[in-house]
Amino acid sequence: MTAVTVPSDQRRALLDPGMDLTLRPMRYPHFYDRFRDAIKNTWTVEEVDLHADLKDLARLSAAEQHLVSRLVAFFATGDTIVANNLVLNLYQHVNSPEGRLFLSRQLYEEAVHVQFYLTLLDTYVPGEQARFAAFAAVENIPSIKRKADFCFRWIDSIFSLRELRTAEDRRRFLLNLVCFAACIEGLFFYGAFAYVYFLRSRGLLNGLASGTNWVFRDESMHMAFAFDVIETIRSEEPDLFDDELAAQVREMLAEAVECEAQFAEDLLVQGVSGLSLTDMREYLQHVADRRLVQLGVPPLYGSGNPFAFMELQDVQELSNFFERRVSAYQVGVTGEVSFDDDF
Amino acid sequence: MLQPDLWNVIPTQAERWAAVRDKVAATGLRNSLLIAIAPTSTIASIAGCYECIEPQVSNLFKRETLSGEFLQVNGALVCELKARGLWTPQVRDDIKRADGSVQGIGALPAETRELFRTAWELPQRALIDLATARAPYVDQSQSLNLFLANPSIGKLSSMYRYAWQSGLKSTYYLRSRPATRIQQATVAAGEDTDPAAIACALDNPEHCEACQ
Repeated sequence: MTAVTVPSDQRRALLDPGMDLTLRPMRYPHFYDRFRDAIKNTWTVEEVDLHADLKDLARLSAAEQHLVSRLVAFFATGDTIVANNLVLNLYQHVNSPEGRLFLSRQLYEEAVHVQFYLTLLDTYVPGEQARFAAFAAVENIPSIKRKADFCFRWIDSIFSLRELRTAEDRRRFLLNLVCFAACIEGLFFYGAFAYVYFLRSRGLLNGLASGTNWVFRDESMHMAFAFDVIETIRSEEPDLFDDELAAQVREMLAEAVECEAQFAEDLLVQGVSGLSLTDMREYLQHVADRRLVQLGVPPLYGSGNPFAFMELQDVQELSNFFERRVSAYQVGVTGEVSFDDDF
Repeated sequence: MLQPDLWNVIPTQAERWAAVRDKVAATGLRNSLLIAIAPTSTIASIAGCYECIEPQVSNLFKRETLSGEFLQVNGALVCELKARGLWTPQVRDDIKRADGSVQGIGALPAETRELFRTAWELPQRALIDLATARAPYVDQSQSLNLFLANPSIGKLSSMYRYAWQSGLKSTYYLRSRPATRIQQATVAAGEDTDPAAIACALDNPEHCEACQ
């Protein structure tokens, strides 16, 4: 692949093959803004205290312990899969240096998430064999394997594509992007999120919940960026978004809901009081509908959100600095010293 | 020499102050410090009010505490909206979507919106002025938190210099907002608004598409 320098007056599309290096003039300043916002969200795994969770773990019922161990096993490999797709597919085809800046930042965040979930595993799971088993879950536990297979199928779907020359190539790329943004980050992770929030609503596993808060703030950004990329492509090449693509997107979301629902079945198999499989399924359908609407595709289910405890994640938080690690802040404040700014 | 003297303030109710001074002169003062304004965040949680001397941080927020998370709604706003027949699911969703702010909700009358400004929406200068007005009567110190959703070095330096020039002994926390938030799950689909896009940020014009 050779570097291409393009005169600024020549209109090029985001998915045109090449290696655009030009940041001035900047074609997609909104990508650059997202990159800068993402940096303000910087956090480190060391800020999360997971040890306080151990006494909660001991108090959980057998059914709840099963739920937590399955979640930990899913988390063990989930973010690594996303990071791999980012490097192998997304970075290659999003031909905008400012877009690639965001993707570089996203890759770093995925790495922090991997570290967070590894620390979680090491803290929650004492035995070495059990830790190995968590990583093997992607092969051995059918409910997790099915989700992983779904992801790998979409990674592989464009893995052999080096350049997006035809409309067909570009649609395949779009489907990969939709899969990772809407189905994996937007649905699988949102499903996992609900379990963590359910436990937290009962005052359990606060350490996991605080780390998860940060992880999901990042994931929300990743998803928003991916949707931004999709909208950008839509404005540049509206013809790509035909009825067939919409039908494929709906089919993909429906399959993702089934994958996640069978995972829920496994997690809740022993019956967790306060969290029914029916509600979980409805929640997943609700989330899937939201993703479809965000993608400009008619929703499939018309389901509402059954989980009142999810309200808690939708409002701003106020923590007492002495009791909890405050997660609502930003880093990297910039500017010049001055004495007459408005405040 | 009492606290108001240090501030060169002549208090009202001069007779009562004179009586206090006479007593102090006659018998002395047991404690060197008499009044402090404490942060009271746990008490506020229990009592369902806002901390200390602070304005409300939001009309809808959760408290994160050791024992879990608790949703807190501004009861006064609910009463006001119910009285006006405006406490509708639509308005509730709007408030949630706006992170507990009522400023952008057109259905609400302007005076309601002004009354229910959050700590993020009030001029911090006013909080400092209020603290300065209290200071002559608070000999220990006050817990004064300041709120800048989007701090910059310029705003911070201006704000703290103003507090220093006003004669305040100290301020307490600076609270800021995260740059981005977790995507909401309980408000209706299809109405997501990117806060960065709608907030026509006058303080940040180079990043506002409308201002470019």
